[in-house]
Amino acid sequence: MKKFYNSLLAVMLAAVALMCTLSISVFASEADQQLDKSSSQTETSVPETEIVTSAADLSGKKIGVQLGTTGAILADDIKDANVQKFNKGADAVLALRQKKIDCVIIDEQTAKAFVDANKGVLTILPDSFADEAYAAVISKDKPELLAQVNSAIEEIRDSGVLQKIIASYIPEKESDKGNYHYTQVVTHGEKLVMATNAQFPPYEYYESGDITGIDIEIGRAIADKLGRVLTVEDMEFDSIIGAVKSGKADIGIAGFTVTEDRAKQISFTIDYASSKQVIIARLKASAQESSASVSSDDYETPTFIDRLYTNFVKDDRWRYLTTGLCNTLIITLFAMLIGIVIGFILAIIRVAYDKNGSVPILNIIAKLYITVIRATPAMVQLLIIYYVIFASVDINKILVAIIAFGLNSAAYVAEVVRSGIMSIDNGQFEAGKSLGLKFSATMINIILPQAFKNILPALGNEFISLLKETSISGYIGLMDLTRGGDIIRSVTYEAFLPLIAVALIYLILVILLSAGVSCLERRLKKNER
Amino acid sequence: MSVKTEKKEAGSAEVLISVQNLSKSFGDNLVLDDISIDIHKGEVISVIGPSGCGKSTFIRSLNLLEEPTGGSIIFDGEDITDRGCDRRLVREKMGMVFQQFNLFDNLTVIKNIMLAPVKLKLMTKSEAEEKAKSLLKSVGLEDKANMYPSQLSGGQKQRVAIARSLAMNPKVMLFDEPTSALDPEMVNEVLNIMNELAAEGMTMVVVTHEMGFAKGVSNRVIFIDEGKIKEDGSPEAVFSNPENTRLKDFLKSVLK
Repeated sequence: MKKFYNSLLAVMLAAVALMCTLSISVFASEADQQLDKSSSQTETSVPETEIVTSAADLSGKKIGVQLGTTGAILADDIKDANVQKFNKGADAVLALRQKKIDCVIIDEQTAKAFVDANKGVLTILPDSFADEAYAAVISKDKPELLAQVNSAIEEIRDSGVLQKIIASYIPEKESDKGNYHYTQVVTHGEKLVMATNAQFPPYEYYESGDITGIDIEIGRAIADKLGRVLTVEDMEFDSIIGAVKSGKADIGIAGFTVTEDRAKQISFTIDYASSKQVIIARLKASAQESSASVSSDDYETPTFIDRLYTNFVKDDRWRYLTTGLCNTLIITLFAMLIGIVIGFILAIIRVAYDKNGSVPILNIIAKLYITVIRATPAMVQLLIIYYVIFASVDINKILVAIIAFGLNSAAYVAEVVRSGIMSIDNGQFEAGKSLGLKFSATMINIILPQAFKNILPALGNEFISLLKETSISGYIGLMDLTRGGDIIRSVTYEAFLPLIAVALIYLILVILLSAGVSCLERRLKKNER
Repeated sequence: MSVKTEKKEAGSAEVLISVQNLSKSFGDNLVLDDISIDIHKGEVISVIGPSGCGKSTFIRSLNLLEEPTGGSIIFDGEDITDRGCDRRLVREKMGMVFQQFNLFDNLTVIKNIMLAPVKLKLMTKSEAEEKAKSLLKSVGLEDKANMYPSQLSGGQKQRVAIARSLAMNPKVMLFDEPTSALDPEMVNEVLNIMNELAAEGMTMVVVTHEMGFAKGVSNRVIFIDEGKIKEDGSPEAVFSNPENTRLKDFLKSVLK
């Protein structure tokens, strides 16, 4: 017992030590970088950029874009370009900073926010693409809603609210900043579900745990005009149109540019804002250094403590991790329970058929189920359950994840349990039979208790996989632990600390889970001697 | 073991099991070929024969662990090979002891014995416990009640297995090579229990290689070869005056 805890402690200490060394070295190198970048707030002349210098210069370059955005459509048209599509704009920007790509094409206002956060390293090129209009998307099946929303947008625009919202988030003069204050008019009534992708400042982003931004304010104003209560659903950008089409969401507002291809799928409302696509490029090292004299007073190298503060303490950002952890635990626990119950039932059906030839039809169903589930990726199953099976049902996402992961785990548990049952000597079955016990009584009293002991390590393994598999929950816009870290990453523009924190939490969870399984194993082993 | 049951003449007692034209094949392999035999109440029958002759299949067919492919078995006046017959109820009344003991490894000795009577609601828990204790006493293992099978020797396991079957108050006990998996020094402790059981008048069918038991305890010996009963008679007749040449060869090889 003691020995076990000692080794556990040793493993954890080693892991922490490893992380610390890593973090210090990365931190050190980033700090160095930070130091020689600390400069270049040149507002006077066009700064020199490396690799990509103008819009004419894009062919053959590595271009980062956000999946499903207009930037991605534009980049695809560029000759010989190597287009890399990221789930988040922030990830593309991070890749650019880390020199994995040469430039990023993204919406202007978002680009400004990103460049602001990466001062002295990145810049927006003066050339830009054509102006484009932002509009909300509504299912083609809902023409009445479209008409209502259109007239709501007109009203908001005519009354000056729209301009005030935009000015509040994209201020032309300092006094406009944060000047729009929303007061909820409608508090009860039908929900208006709005799908968005909160990785797109200043249109939609996380701040102090809530989603906010221009599109959110517009959504609220529209909901008020419609006499409905707004619910905001955060999801991947490329999932929004699907969600609106399937009825998961009533309206999608996420800085959608009106394009022909999209208009085939979905109805656009009248536009509410305009923007354009711009190119973010990396400044040349020389450009970064040349203005080193500008002073580094207002751009101090952040210390490790500062970075911990920014990533976890400021604005209560640690709450993204704790809320995420909580959801991850809930999903894993209940999915495990579903997996065990259905898995055992499937296994018993299959064994009953193998041993006695009973329940042939159920056996075929069980076999089919196990084959289908094991042959398709969990992520695809999760998306199918959310967007297809529960398409028009208003269902809690955590429940969806529990069902999806539970059903997925059941197939694996079934095979583990079946192998456990088959490993029990046939004589045990025959002895039960010869005493006049029913198959079910033999199963419950004799076979399963022995099989369970044998399969415990394999079951533990399955549940460790399950715990980590839940990290794809973010794809249905559910904030699990991984997504919590992602959100921090998207507001602090730092990959290292949020990812390491998330990894450490998973590590600790898995260590605890394995310790629980071995503890149970030892307890059951007592019966053996 | 001086106890010798008086040998009953066939037909003098009630027929408990009547096997009629029983055959069993696994695929193309005919293992039992048209076997007919009446087993009377109180008879102790030893089934002998060379390995692979079908004697195990024969005894396993009696409680339908093997489903016969032809013929019928009448047990206690009922055709148990009939589709409508509840095999589970049949097996309640036929005890079976296996070569490999097949004790339930996850249960203590006493729970092994109590499980079936309690689960089948034939006894209350306390009745079953009482019965289990007295059975353990009769097989000389009352001190092992709370041990697990893995803590017992082979002979002890087989005695528990016998007690477990007896707890169901069976009408007949089937033994499938009960001593074949035992170390030689443990064979007798099991045979002694079987002797006592025979002396109490239990109907027993025993597949065995123990010629001493066949001669000394049983009152009828059948010799099965090539899926047929080739000899059927009293131990004296079978052992002293074997008529069948295969039986002569077999006896020569086992008795030396």
